[in-house]
Amino acid sequence: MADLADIEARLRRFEDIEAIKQLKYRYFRTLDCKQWDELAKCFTDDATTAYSGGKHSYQGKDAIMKFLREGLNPTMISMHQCHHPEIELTSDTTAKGMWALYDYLIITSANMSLRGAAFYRDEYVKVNGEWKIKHTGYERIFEEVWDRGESKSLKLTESMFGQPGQSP
Amino acid sequence: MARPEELEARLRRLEDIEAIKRLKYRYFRTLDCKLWDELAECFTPDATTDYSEGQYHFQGIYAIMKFLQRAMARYDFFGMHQGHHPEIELTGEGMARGTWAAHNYMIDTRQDRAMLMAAFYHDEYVRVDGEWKIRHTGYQRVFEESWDRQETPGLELTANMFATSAESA
Repeated sequence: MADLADIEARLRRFEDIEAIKQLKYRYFRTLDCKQWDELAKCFTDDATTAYSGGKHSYQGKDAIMKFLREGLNPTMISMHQCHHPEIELTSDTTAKGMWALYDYLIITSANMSLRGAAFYRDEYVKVNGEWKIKHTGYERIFEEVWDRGESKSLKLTESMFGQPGQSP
Repeated sequence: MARPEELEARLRRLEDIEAIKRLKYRYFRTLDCKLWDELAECFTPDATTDYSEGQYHFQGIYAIMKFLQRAMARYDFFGMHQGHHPEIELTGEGMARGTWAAHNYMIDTRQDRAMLMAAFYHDEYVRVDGEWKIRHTGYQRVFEESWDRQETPGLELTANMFATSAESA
């Protein structure tokens, strides 16, 4: 016999998992669009990171945002896409998640490209009804870079952030 | 107004589809991280495969795991298997099938080659003791291409999950 309280609780788990997925998608969208104020809202104030297997560990939203803003400055055109969400609710207001990342970056200042894949391990917390990233970090499966100058016909035909030397 | 029994049945279908997606994500993650024991738990004991249009047809978890480990266990062969566009259909109580779009990119540092592949998976799943497992999996390739990484002289591998494992191997 199904009871409505049980159905409501199970539906809420679905809604929480969906909200966490959307949080992660917003994180990557605002990261790639360099919308730093929007991106900052994805984190709790005391959030921590362990990017690149802990090589880029930061404590607190301000330190994280400084790292991301400088690292993904206007000479970095980035595509970060994450797939394969494995989200686990650990209480009504806490959750863990794993994601598979595929990223491709164009570094216009150095005329380099980067391609990589990684697995994220995140922790989320619900604050005033809204899910936030409390911890995020990834381990690379691989990352490779190459000189774009070696492909003679390669041409960047569009960029959201303008061409090098031009104001966006 | 929908009755609770009907709501519960619809919710259960969504939960089953979500559980099957997670199963597939765990399969890909443990494959790429070379976590063989966890990967084996994704299959039923009598599972079958038809990888690469049936070229790699195996019956039973032992044969499948032997193949996957032989193909993928080398620490100088690694990369990513990603599955997108899940179309999951529940076909009966505790039974389902699914198709997925695959995007694979592999690096072989011993041969200095890379491989890019797009394919569609056709899977069958069963629920055993409340847990979804892969009973059959296989894919048909849309395309597969490979190339010599030495032809790109400036190409440099800057991170590799298995670099330390390869050194100690």
